Amino acid sequence: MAVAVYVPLLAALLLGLGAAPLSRLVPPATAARALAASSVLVAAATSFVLGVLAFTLLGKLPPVAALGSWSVASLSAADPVPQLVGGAACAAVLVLGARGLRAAVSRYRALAAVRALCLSLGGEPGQLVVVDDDADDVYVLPGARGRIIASRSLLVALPADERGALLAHEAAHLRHHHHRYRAATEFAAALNPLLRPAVAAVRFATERWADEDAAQATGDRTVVATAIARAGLRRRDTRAITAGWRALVLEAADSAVVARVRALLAPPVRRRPAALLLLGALLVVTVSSAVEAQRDAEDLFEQSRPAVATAPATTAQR
Amino acid sequence: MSKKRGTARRDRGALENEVLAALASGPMTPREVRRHLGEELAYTTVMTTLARLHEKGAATRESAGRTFTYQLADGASVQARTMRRALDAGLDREQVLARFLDELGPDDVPVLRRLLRQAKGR
Repeated sequence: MAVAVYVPLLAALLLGLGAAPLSRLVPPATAARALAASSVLVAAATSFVLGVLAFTLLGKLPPVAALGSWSVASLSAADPVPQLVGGAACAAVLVLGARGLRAAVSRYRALAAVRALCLSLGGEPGQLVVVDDDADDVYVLPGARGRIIASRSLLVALPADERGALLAHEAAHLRHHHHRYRAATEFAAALNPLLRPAVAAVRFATERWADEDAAQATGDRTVVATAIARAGLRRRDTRAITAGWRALVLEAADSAVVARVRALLAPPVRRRPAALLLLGALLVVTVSSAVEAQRDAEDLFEQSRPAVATAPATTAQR
Repeated sequence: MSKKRGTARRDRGALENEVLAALASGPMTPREVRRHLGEELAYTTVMTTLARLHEKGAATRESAGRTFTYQLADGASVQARTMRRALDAGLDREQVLARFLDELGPDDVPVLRRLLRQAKGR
């Protein structure tokens, strides 16, 4: 237990560090799926071992010990977890649990707002809605009734083939439910801040996924690349003029736009089974460590029970 | 088989969206829409797509001699003010919307211009 309980935390650190490279090294659809699923699994494992750690401290409180009928003295003697660590784990469970809850609630509210907006817009799911706006912008409102939203100025400015590429990109977001991968990873990162880099990595992977989907739909990766580059430059130009509300949006230090254009102008990314195997191994170790930690904790509490407490079980067996 | 049908339906949706996007430039006859889409599509395909959009209420049309002039209906276009108000009401914009574009950093602009030239040169 002294070791196993910390392994998932180390795994979260490694996944956080490896998320960005992985999102660029393997095909984007694979990267998005693998990263979102791993983040959720690792977050679950770390939450679980934090819970186990916290309970080793809570178990030493007399009322809890009385309830479980184990001895505080023998538990304290056998427990390999320092009290400081137990205390930190208790605090972490409270804080991270609250963060997770808040993330889930705000996501639910946002999706409800988007749904209401989609309903009020009328029309069919997946249909384009043109916003009468001079500020270049295009995005999707996610969900089953999702819509593609594009400003008139951007649609008018792009040549036909690039306009088609842009629409295909947005349709891919809706069709593959990309918001779910993002939401899952954000929830995981709320439960474990070490996973924060995975949020940006999954975001990037879903954008690349939609880019490659659009390339397949239009049959031309270069057209998608030029559409992104042109729209990106135009959006910057208009942003300088009509700052206003848009100025509030956070400026990203390293934009993913350039990376996406480069990726489309380069040959498609090869499959890399080795990278995925490595990730798989990390997950197996994480989950088995969490299970191991739980077993060890159970043994610890069992051993701290006086013999009398286990006596009835033995009689019952006979 | 079912997969194939799924693709066909998706293509139809994509086509409708491309026609709607073309109509963003203003009212047009089917011939003008076709020119706007790069003339790759058959005239009849454009005609039927426009007729379907009209049936769905996404486009309105007015008789113009022997043909119709189509334009975006209220259901397919929305005022910028309405959209902003709706989005600003209780929405973490960055969290939910899958944007096509991130904000560009100052260093990105020359790089992007160069890549665009390079791509067009192909």
